[in-house]
Amino acid sequence: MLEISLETIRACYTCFKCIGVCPAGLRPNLFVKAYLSSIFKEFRDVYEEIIGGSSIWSCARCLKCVEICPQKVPLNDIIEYLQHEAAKRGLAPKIYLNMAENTMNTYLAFTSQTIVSKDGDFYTTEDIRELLGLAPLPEPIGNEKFKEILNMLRGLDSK
Amino acid sequence: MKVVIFTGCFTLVKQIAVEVSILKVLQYLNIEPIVPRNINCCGFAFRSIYPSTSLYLTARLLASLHNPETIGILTLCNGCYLMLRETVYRLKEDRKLLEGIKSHLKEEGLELKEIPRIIHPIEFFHDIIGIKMLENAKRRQYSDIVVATHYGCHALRPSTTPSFDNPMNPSKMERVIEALGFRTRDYPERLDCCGAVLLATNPNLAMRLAYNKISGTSRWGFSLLVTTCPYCFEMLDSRQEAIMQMFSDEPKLSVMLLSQLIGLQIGLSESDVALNLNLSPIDRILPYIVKR
Ligand code: SF4
Ligand code: SF4
Repeated sequence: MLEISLETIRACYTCFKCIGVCPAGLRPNLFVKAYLSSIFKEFRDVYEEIIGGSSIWSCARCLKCVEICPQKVPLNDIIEYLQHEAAKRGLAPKIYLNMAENTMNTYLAFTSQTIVSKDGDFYTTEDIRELLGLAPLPEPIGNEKFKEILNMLRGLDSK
Repeated sequence: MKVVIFTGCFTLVKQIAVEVSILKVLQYLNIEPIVPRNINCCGFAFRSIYPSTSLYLTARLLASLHNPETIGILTLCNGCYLMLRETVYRLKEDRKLLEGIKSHLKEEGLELKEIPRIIHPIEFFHDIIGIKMLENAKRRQYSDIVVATHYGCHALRPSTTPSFDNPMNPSKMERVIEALGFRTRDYPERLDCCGAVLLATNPNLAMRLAYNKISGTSRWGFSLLVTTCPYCFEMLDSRQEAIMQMFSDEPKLSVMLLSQLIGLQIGLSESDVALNLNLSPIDRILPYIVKR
């Protein structure tokens, strides 16, 4: 996880510019408060509410709040920190865990999809790739070491 | 000239037109694409949940994709592009981090000898192919067609990590499109988010963001919206009909990939650039820009 300097967080002067630009209707300044409370044990209720709630998972990562903030508070790093804290409590959306699992097993986050053309034809990923002369999907052969390292890192990340 | 192509997972499995159209355009420009098969997911989606895992995945890409005979890694997806440019930046700043990653890579038989250049498609056309070349390659001038550009959030932001253009007021895609003979115009929603990141956790909100982008952009009378990112394309093109329906509205914005527009303008056919995979209402614009 990236180091976030306390000084930059303390710089938030609640101007609410971040709220004004957020397309997801979030209040990013509250994430700053929650982050502070994770260190100083003040605003503990804000922290608990945010970690246990859905707002951190409703961030579209448009990064507009980061750009607008006159105090250069690294809101993106703060949101990721809080998501990580929630994940360590087992509160991460399952879909992301599945994507990491897929990656470990097949190198890719996604499996084969259905692709529709304008004329209403349906193709599987494999079929349309072959039809259009594109290389087949990577094959997870000989990936034991890869799996081992990823497993180890995922374990570290979960602590 | 040779260039490594990195599609990322989503282009590979779903947004096939992104890959097809860029390969065809490169072929026309006499640039040899190297398309490695030993790729992996960059870890963007789960980067906050598994930070060191996703960092490793991206660093692994730097090692496995690097080819010293090429100009760098042309990265087709904005999410992968953000991961790669951020990782390059962090590894250059942090020797200890770099050494740790190198030792894991070594266990896999991979080596990170030097850090390759990460190239965004817009940067590729603007800085490497160049405006002059595009001007010379175009077949016709279309001064009555006005194009809206959509860069996508992760092409440019956050500004703390270096990118190819001004994060709050980019202009390179405009220059490329103008070189092709079209007009561009600024609009209030130009830097707005397509919502794709939220598809996984809050699909309704994702659709609302995309709806705001599509309906907002449509107000200004553009003939076409152009993007390069497979996720933005998914939201603005592939899902446009479903999104508009959700808000009791009609599909109304023609959407194309930059590589498709370039392809058509240099004389490639509709099937060369896989235009049959665009689901937004492009029929109204096609008669004007396609050689038939
Ligand atoms: S824009 Fe920055 S300083 Fe203003 S409230 Fe948000 S985080 Fe605080
Ligand atoms: S990055 Fe997240 S919190 Fe910040 S403005 Fe965008 S959606 Fe809102």
